[in-house]
Amino acid sequence: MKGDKDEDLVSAFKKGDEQAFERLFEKYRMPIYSICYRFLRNEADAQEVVLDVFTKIFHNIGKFREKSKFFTWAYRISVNTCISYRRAHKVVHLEPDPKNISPSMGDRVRMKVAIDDALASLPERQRMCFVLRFYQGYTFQEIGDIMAITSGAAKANHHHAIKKLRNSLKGWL
Amino acid sequence: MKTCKWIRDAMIDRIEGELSSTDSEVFDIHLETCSACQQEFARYEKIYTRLQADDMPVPGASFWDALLLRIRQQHVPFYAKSSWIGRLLPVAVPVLAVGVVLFIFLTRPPSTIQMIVPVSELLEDEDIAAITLNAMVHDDLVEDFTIIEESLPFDIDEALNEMTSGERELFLKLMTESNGVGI
Repeated sequence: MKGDKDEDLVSAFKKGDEQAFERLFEKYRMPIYSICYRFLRNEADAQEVVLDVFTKIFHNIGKFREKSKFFTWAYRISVNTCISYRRAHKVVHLEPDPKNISPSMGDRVRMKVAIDDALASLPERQRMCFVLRFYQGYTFQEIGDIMAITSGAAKANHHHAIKKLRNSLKGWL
Repeated sequence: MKTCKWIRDAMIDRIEGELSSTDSEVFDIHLETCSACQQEFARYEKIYTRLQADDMPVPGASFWDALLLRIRQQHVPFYAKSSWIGRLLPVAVPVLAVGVVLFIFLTRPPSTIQMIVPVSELLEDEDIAAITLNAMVHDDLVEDFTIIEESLPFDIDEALNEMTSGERELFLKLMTESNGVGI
């Protein structure tokens, strides 16, 4: 293994070096978890999907032709797995019991629920573009590569998402 | 002079730093003079603040360790990692085996019997001569020699016994040539 560059780690892992996979795992576990959590808005669901994503990466690294960057490929797996999971599972958000919420904590929890609901009302593509841009900080070109859409479409989806969130959350402004 | 609609459409780009410096200047000048756009811009800024404050539960080290362990437990051999090798292998092995057998069978040289015993000695015993000559490609050889024998005025076996080995070979050569036998 030459270094910590993704291409070196991928190459080493393809040759059977499982330590290289561990390095990739350590490097990308939080960004991938973050995408999953921000999209699914549920910790347990996100953890389940992260396992699925890394299992796919582990078993399918041989199919990765390295025509794109590793993170683009890995995030595309994450995006597709999140969307499939959401379609297959009806994600339920439990309303917190008001008796267990202190007055100071109340607004924060209610705000979180309002954001959950606002994000849940967004179409999948808008929601994912928003997550990748807003929480992960990717450029529209990178988002386009990850989601297999144009950078213009990525930007348009993100803008639509922000405008809808602005309307959904107007009671909190 | 940009319209309020253009300003409102540009608000997200302004917050995210996507406007050019010229457009940013125009945007800011408009905002100073338009209270409606000012209020709308303030709402967008607040939305960004609210969403950025939305925290995320972070899994502990034990979660990641357990996750890595579970992934490793699902380990598969390398050939199965590569889809085309994995799919091809169960078919390729028997096909290859049959191919190798066919190749050996079809390309081996035809089996032949190499005669190291002089024909003159075989001719001393008719049965041996017949069996041996039958095993050779020329089935009609025995018949040819019978014709030769019948055409001679003496007993061929006796004559051959009285000859030296060189004479026998020369005799047989001359006889076969003169009678057109294709040895």
